Amino acid sequence: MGVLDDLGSGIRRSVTGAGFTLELLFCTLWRLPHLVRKIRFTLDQMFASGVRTIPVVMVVAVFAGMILSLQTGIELKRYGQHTLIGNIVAISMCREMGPFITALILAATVGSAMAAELGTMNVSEEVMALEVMSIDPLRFLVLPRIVALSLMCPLLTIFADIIGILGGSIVASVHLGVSFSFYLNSARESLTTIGSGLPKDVYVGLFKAWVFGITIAAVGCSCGLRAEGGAMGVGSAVRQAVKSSFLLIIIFGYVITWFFYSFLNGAF
Amino acid sequence: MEPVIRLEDVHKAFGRRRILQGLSFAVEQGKTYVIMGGSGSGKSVTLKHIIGLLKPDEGRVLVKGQEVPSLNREGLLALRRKMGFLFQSGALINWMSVYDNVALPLRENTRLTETEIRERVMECIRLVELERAADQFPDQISGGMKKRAGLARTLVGEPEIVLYDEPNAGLDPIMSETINRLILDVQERFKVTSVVVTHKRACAYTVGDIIAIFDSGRIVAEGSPDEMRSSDHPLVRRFLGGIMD
Repeated sequence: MGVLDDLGSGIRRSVTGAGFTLELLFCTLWRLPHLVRKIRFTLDQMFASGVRTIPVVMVVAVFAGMILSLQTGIELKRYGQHTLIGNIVAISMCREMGPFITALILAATVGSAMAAELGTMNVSEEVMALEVMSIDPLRFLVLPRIVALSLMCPLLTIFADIIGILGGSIVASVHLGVSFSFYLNSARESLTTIGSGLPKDVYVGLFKAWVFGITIAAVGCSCGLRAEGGAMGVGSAVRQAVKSSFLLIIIFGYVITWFFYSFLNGAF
Repeated sequence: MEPVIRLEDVHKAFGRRRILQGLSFAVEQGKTYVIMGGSGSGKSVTLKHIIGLLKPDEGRVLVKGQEVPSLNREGLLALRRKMGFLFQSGALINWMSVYDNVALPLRENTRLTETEIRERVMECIRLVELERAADQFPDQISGGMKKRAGLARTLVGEPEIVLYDEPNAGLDPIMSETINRLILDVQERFKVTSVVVTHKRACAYTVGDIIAIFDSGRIVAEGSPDEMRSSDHPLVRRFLGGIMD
């Protein structure tokens, strides 16, 4: 019975948490017209969540591109196909790796910080103080954070895509003997030959990044606003925020890929 | 004359723990009602019912003739604009300076210009004697200063009702006296109706028009400071007898 009780309460907690997060997200989106009065704070949040994350995104993206180029290039070289490395790195970065690594970095740094900030405010009665001052905590605290991250995640993804592709070019040139200009040309071709206008690999990747940004901010804020019980409660909220964000990024990543590359193409 | 705040037979439980058990009292316009009682007796819960942060399981909570638990969100927000709440910790927003904290309700709830806001904010900051700390952040100031800053923020919206949750908790006797004097100043200058939750008998005697003793979720004794001084009720003697703290 003890195990079943624990399982039952665990499921109830998860469902309650998911319901709270969804309600928080919809109620916050309903307040979008109030964003005009929160521009300054939104820009501050964009700086904190986006600009300050650039160095770590840069390092991770360059190494991700290099690893991808090296691992794939070694295998391709055995079959004499290593000249395709530019195409493969460009498509992989834009479709999957760019948004994915950017989202994981943002979940670990910005999402956890949001949970800690709001959690501390909650346990020290600051959120309650906002309510008694007739200040809506969703409009004041949550709206700028969700908008900021929904804009910064795609922007950082573009940055990660470019840096990752350039990282791959270093390995292609040094280890695989593919010249820089050839690599860049094949990368560009692979992203521009499919359809017209903005290539599908790029816009699907950016759409993913937008969804990930909203998810990370909503989960971080939701966990923070549900924190209770002092420092332990804040710690637990941060842990929960990172854990849930990681899980949702992977799940949403799969669903979006399936929708655009399988469902819309009639393959499923 | 209709009391500004009236609680009638209010019951509240958290799980199996019954906090309020038939609480009833009324506060007249312009009076200061002091609530004293042991820890966990439901004093802060009572304040949260008055400002609509909690709803009673049974009973009525009326503020300015309005049933607080049945107000919709807009009604509650409108009522709260007429009320101020001083939290035990001050509850200042940590990433804002004292000035910005005090200006916050005006920036969010009014369409005043920055010049008008500055005038009102500085008036409140001067009242609590925090001019020198206006640009400092909450973690750079003492506990007493935080409470004074919290009081300035409470007053900046010109409330008709002010609720104080343990205004002297954790303060030395001198700072405690300063806070008592400020509560009296506020009372005299703005003619507000106040409810003060405190453990300090000096605070109760200094600021209270009516003092009530809480036990087991209800009021067991109530009266003016003079009546309470001469009361033989054992709980009144325990809370209000002996040497002033």
